[in-house]
Amino acid sequence: MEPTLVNDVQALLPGLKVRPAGPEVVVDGRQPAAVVFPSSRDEVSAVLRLAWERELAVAPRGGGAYTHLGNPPRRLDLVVVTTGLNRVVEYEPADLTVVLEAGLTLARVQEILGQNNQFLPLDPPRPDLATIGGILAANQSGPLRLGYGTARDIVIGTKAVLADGTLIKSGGKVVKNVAGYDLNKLFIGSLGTVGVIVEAAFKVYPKPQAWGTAAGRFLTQEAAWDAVWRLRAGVFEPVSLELLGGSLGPAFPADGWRLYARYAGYGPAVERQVRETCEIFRAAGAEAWELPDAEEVFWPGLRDLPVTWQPASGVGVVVRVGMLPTRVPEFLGGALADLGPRGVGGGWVARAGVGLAYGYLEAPDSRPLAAAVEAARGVARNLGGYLVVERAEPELKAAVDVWGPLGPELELMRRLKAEFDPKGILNPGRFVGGI
Amino acid sequence: MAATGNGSLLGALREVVGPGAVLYDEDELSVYEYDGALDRARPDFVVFPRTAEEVAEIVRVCNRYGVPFVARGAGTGLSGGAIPVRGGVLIVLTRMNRIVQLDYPNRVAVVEPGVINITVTEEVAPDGYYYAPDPSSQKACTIGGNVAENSGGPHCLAYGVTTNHVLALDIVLPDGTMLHVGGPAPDWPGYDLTGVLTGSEGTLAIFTRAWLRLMRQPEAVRTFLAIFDRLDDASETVSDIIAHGIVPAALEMMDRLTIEAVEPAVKAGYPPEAEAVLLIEVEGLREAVDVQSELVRKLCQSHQAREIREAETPEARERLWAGRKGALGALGRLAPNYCLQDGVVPRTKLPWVLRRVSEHGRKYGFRIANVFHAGDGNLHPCILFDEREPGATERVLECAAAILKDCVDAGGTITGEHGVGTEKKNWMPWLFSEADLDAMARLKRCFNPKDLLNPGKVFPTTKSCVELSADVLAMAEKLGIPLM
Repeated sequence: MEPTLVNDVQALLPGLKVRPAGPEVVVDGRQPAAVVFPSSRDEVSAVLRLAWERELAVAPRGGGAYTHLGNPPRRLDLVVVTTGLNRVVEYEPADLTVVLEAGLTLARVQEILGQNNQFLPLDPPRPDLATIGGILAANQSGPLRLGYGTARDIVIGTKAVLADGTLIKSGGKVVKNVAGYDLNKLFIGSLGTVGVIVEAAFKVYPKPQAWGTAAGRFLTQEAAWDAVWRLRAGVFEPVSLELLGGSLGPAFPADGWRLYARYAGYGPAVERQVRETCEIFRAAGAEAWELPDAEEVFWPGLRDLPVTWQPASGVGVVVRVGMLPTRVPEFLGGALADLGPRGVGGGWVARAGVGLAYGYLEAPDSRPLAAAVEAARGVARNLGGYLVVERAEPELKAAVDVWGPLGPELELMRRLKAEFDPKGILNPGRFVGGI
Repeated sequence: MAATGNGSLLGALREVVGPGAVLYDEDELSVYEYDGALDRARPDFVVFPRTAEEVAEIVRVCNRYGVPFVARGAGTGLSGGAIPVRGGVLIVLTRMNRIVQLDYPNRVAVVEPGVINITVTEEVAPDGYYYAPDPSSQKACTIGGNVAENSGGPHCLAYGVTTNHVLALDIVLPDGTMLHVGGPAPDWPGYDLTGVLTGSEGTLAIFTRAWLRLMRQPEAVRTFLAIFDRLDDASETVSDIIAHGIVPAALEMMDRLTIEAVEPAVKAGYPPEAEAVLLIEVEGLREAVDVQSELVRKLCQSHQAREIREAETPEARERLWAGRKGALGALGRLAPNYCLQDGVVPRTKLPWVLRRVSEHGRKYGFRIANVFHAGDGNLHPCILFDEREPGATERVLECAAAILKDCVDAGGTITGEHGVGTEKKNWMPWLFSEADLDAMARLKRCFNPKDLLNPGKVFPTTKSCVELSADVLAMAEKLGIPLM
């Protein structure tokens, strides 16, 4: 089967780079037959047309930074690697917009924009590896989202190839645009199940002149949250506000609860906010200081953690929990009380003020982990939230529901999938409800 | 529609909302045949539900009778979004106007669709918060309409448009199903249904509740009025401010004709002999505001601003803004009618497109006032005319089309915040291919497969013969012309 598919693809699309798939493109234990490297959107289109005709299951792939997301694929024949689509289509710095091909890595994009003192205010894990298309498809973000929002807030246009090979666009390259439905929103976070993103236009931002981070070590979780709410009620504008607890690996001290407030903007404003934040932390009983080298060391490490974290021993799982910000303390209280007795260790990072928390959990084997994840999901759901498994070994994914149950809106999502990919060739099974 | 059919439909609607909440008298209906745009069409019934359940039941009744239905808020829309082009039932949501919950720690307001935009900010302002999207019609327009049209406003430059501030929705699907989509927790698993519904121009679902993001009032605000003797200087100042990495909270521009209209009406203190004024607002931490203000002043001066005034008091700030927000109303005094357009261009193309606008005005013989969100590159050329003059309406639309075509050619779009609606749907092919439009049609089919909800919008008439013939049929029916 495998050599046949490679040969067939090559015969039909002689200009395209095709290879038998190696272990590096295995998705959750599922081995595809072939991997293709299109270098233009027309080639992506041609590949999908072929896949459509032959009903081959396709997994789009950028740098492979986020292939751990989602259910294991129901079937997989062809991996389409988009890193060959790596051109800056259009960049006019004075417009504060940029149009990018989807295969560019975020790091490369930041390098290009940085030459004009601009940047994309998006800091998902592993920007050296993650591509624009992958970041959008997986809707990945990082600590900066408190201040700048997520991909859906800065994407102003998308081009995508649909399952049948049709190239379509939505939006454009101007910062305000309500012509037609906002299909950008459909592609962002769709995990490659409705189309392959080949191009995206963004609003870009001027780089802040200065950055600064206040750090605090709190004796209790309650005291740390007290400081969070005091900060949030005021006029300060932290761009990141992260609360770390438990054991998160060698790069992060495991001594009580640590709160990090990060500021960006004009120097004097940043200085005042850092200084006064330290005072707020101290008033809540914490030891507080300005964190040196935060932009070089601490924030990149925390940004990458959902992808780079490894359990100290045994088996690990990374979960993401979402709920209204004020409910996160109760969630953490409930989840933590539950983990110890189960023999599950690890740590939590709460994206305070946003309403997200990442759990990094480990245990000697996967059974207590699966039970702990389901229990934590129960706590999250009771608080009006959800829990998603972001990273787990295939056997753990088999034991827990990656996405958790959805409400009646799932029916509408199934209809969307059926309209855009009626043959179900794009990442079959990996998304919510087995979409 | 046969009279008996109408009779029983009337009965069914009355059963849902009570006899006092259904209008069917011709005179009463005529109030609901227009919005803020030029197109008109009369509904057969107007109903005023008070609850989401009533909305759902009305929708089910409409399905039973196979009549189209359209949701409407305050009717301030500028693209014909609330016009029932095929008649049927107009569902007016203004009685669903409760603020359900204000949750400051989570910065969320839960509101019903009939809540007026400015009411949200007025409610939360004493506690130090506000709702950012602020369309010029904010004293009248409703949140439901804002979400449907993905409305913008002057302060969207820094904070984004409506879609960036809607966290979740309760909706009624066109088959009467009630559903909740989105969080309000962030990144709710699954497709971003809230995102695709926002800006869908009332064609995918009816919103019965919205979860809105509240923002904290900034520590400091400074508002400037920069006065220019040349339009080009003003538009180049805009490009330069943006290019210098300053994103003001608002950056608005008005030209001479607008100023002439505004001053007698609003007395905002704009100098009547100026060619253009810029209204610039910077806000944030006080240190940042000071740095930005200095730079803004310097850039205005370097582009020959004749004068730069700063609002020294909250009242003075209000007055400067009253001029901007009252501009459209004031323009109504200059001519019996106006046609307001909503093109967007890349910001660096602003000086070029403004020159083109005045060329088109001269060519078609109209006075065109310019009042717009300059910082976003979103222009609102306002073509003044008198519809009683033979052929004027047709020429106005031609002139508008020429301006918007220029916007598209400059890399922009035909609408930045008003919507496509009926007015601009036939210009969609300038931007979108058949395949693009087909992808949008796929989305529509998921939500609104029978096309009973708000038909005849967004998609070009020329694209679908079915849609076109339905329009013809509807018109023939209205005029009493027997077709079959």
